[in-house]
Amino acid sequence: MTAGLLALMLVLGQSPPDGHGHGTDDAHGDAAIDSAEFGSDRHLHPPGEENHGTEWFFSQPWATPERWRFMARDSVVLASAAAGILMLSGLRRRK
Amino acid sequence: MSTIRAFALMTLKGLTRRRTFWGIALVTLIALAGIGSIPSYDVTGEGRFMIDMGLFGIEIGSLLLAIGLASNMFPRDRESRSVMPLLAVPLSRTQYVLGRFAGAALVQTAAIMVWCACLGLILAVNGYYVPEAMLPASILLVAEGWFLLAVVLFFSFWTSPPLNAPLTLLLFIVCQMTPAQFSGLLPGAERVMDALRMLLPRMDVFHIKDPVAHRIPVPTAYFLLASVYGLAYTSFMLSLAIAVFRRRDLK
Repeated sequence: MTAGLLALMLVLGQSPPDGHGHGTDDAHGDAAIDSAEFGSDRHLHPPGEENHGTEWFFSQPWATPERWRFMARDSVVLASAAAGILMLSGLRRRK
Repeated sequence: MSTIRAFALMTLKGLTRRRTFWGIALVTLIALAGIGSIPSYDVTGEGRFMIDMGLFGIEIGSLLLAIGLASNMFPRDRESRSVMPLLAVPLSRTQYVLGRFAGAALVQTAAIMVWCACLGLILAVNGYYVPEAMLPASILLVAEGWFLLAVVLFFSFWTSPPLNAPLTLLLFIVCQMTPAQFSGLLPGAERVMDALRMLLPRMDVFHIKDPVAHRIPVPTAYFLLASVYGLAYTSFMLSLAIAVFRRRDLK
């Protein structure tokens, strides 16, 4: 809903929050990409870097290795748990 | 397998005859049309807002549809006593749960696909770009919708329909939270909350509204892995539902 909030703020005449300061240490290589359709500059984090807590700019969470890891790990654990539950409940029923 | 397929088709026919399905589908379509008719007020990039709000609307529609479709299936069968002859001969309890789920999942998938196509149509009619990632984004919404459906089905075996809806809604809200937000709900018991949060799915995995709206390419492998993640949670919830239903006394 970030975009929805942005629309509301712009309609109400408020300026968007600007809490995303960049020091010299954490320069992200921001890219302001012109877009004919979108009309405004965009702020992009490089792939794999998380957002710094601001609502305004979005991160690219799919690129973080942590996310890929937990998705793969949880999928395996849950599929095994599902198979285990089915087997146990089937065994109990037979008894 | 053929028994489950036949029962799923029977469920599908039954569900499409119900007013609940058509009501929710129609309300969601009206909401999408409403989003498409919001004036731009000279705000640039209005297409992005339409995609963002449209996909959010479809997600909420999917939640309502899951509750509307699955919360009443077993209680209705039990009340009308149609579950007894079904389980007496042609179906095992596992086949009953899987058939009911498959039928409802087909209906929900069709509804989400139609909603996404309508959102694309609204964007095109308004002269905005229709992102290619709309299809993978809708597939992730389907994965999320199937999980919600499995949750509602699981709750339906041990709660009443009026309790099912708030429980599912609560789970939906909690699953939207990040681990930090969730552990902040109960200060002082962070470890317990962290452990509890690990059991719940991270719904943000399925939310790719921002990149879709901003035309940022998302790798196909991400969509595949996120879909597998959703399917794993769905199968886990279904196995719990089957385990509960196997032990359930129907008298």
